[in-house]
Amino acid sequence: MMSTAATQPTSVLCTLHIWPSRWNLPSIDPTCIAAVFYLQLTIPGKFEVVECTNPDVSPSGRLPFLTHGHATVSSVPAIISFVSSLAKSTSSGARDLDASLSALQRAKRTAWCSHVEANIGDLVAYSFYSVDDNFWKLTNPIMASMLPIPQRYYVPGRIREMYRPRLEAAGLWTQTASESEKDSFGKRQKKDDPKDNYARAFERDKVSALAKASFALYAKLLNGQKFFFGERPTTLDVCLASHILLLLDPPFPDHLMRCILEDSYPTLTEHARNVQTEVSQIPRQYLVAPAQKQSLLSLIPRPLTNPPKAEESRMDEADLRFRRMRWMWFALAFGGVACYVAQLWIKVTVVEANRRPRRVQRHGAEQFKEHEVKVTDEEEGKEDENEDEDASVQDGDE
Amino acid sequence: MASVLSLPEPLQRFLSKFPLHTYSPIQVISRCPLQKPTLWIAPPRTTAVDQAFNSDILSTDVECLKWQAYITLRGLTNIAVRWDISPEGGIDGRLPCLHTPVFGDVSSELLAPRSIPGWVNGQVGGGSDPLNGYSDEILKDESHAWVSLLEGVVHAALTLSEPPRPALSQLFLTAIAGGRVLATTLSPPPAPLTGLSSVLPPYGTNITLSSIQGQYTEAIASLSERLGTDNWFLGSENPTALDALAFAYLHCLLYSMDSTRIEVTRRVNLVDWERRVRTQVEAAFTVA
Repeated sequence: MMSTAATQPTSVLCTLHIWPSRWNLPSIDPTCIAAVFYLQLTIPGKFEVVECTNPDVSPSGRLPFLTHGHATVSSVPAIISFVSSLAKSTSSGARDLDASLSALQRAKRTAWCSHVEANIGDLVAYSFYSVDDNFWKLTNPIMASMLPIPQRYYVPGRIREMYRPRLEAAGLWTQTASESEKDSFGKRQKKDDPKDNYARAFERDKVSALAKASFALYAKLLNGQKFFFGERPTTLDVCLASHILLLLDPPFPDHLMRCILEDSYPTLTEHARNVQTEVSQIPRQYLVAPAQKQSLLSLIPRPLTNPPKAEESRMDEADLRFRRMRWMWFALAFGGVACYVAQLWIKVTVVEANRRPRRVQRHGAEQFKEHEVKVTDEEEGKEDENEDEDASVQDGDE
Repeated sequence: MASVLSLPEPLQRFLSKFPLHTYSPIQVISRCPLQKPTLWIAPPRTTAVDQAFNSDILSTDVECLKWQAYITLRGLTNIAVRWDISPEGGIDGRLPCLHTPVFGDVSSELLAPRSIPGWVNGQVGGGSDPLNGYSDEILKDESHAWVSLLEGVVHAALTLSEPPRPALSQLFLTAIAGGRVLATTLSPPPAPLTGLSSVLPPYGTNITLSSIQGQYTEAIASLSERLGTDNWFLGSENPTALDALAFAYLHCLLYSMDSTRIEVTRRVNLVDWERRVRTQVEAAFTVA
């Protein structure tokens, strides 16, 4: 949709910036998938997706973030809240996904969404970043293929380190992940130690128990229904499905989570596919813009770079006129100051020039006076000598 | 074995010059033996305003206050508290710890937080309830969701609403420690302040209270809606662990910055509930 000066803000296209898509999923990040699903279910075809590989352009430093006119919204809860506010306006055409929920159900939904992000999110992070095989054979190569040089050599590792404290606190950081950090850049040396095998087996059992405990909660909550709160998907369905799909579809070398889901919790797998089908069946699909190229400015630390500016091509005529007038005002202001300073300088120069002849005259007068003083002194000196001579002659005569 | 292997005689004569004496163990005589169970906690507030509300007994740390509330809500009273021990003196370098007195044949011991429920079960009985005090299995499962909410965005908002330290060194310590806390609390974890793509090593945490204000507001509103007019969360007949956790966070939020405190004070049922539980918790503890 093209925006004009007379259009209301709600008709401006929303632009969602997400990590690029892979494995027939909208993105490689669960929160990005959740954002895409939510927007497609609430404002179908009224947004476009931009594949972004530089999360630093986001205000929060993370993807996804949404731009709508001059507004920039980051993080999925904020995006959901923003789109929900659009839904309150009938002219926007947005739909509230949780409109059918009561106040108590909405409260429960909030709590369960938090649980999904915490627990299932940890399992997704474990699969991508904690398991050594998965990180070096899948996550790192995939991210490196998306990122430019030199970011492809250190950004995947930084993202892994970003998740490490949380995974350690949750007991999902594996021993092999800790040991692989000591190896050289980009390569790891595989050691076949029986003790490591035992440790890995115990870790695997512990992770499996944690995963089953989390999955069981949702399987019981679903209770054989198509969606959690009836026949239509809600925010909780979107949130859970986006995480479950990232445990099912990526070709992990170590696919522990997929095995657990398919063997023990097929209802959750079916639920995720139902949500995916619900999204794909909407006639108006979103546009996908190509990935933006990163500039060398991305190498500069974030607080030192300018904040991302809105594209000038999307600005209204009124905004352009306002910008031109503002620059003109600045130019006039500085020009006036410059003229004042120049005038002042000229005045000072003229005054200085006028003072020079008087100084010469005064200097000449002062010299003349000095000459007169010297002459009078010499004459007085001669008179004194003459008086002395006369005095001595008189004394001699006597 | 000793008869088979013997030292050579010259070596025995040499070693006899350095006899080994074994002294009997020294019994530590405590001037003030422990009379009642003592909970080691982080120091409470000691402002003049708080003294009017007798809050000198409640810890300012959420974790310590949670266990204070848990012990009280399980029905125990006459528990002592002390806050003159630094966290490094506790088990695993953290507080709270529970110091139990000698009781019959059971010697005095220091318990970590994970052992407190077992000790409480031994004092008041119980602990065999598979539902842990909740009305049914569904509500017990739902309690996990509320715990995630409280320990997630609510805890992050509380951490970010702490006032900044005056000294520069403490500012750095707070930044590093606070960043670590937020990295383990929030999911997904916050990005570094310097960004991911820069050539410099990542530093700091790109998270502010305003960025999670919306989530925090929604969390408190949901908490208020779920409590409603019930005596305890999730409609339980008796207090549960979730009530202890909720009380700890609500109490700390009511003494935090305006932006976080106001969200709680707007919900009358939460304020009333916190006041009622606070009275009960304060009555159960005495200063050691």
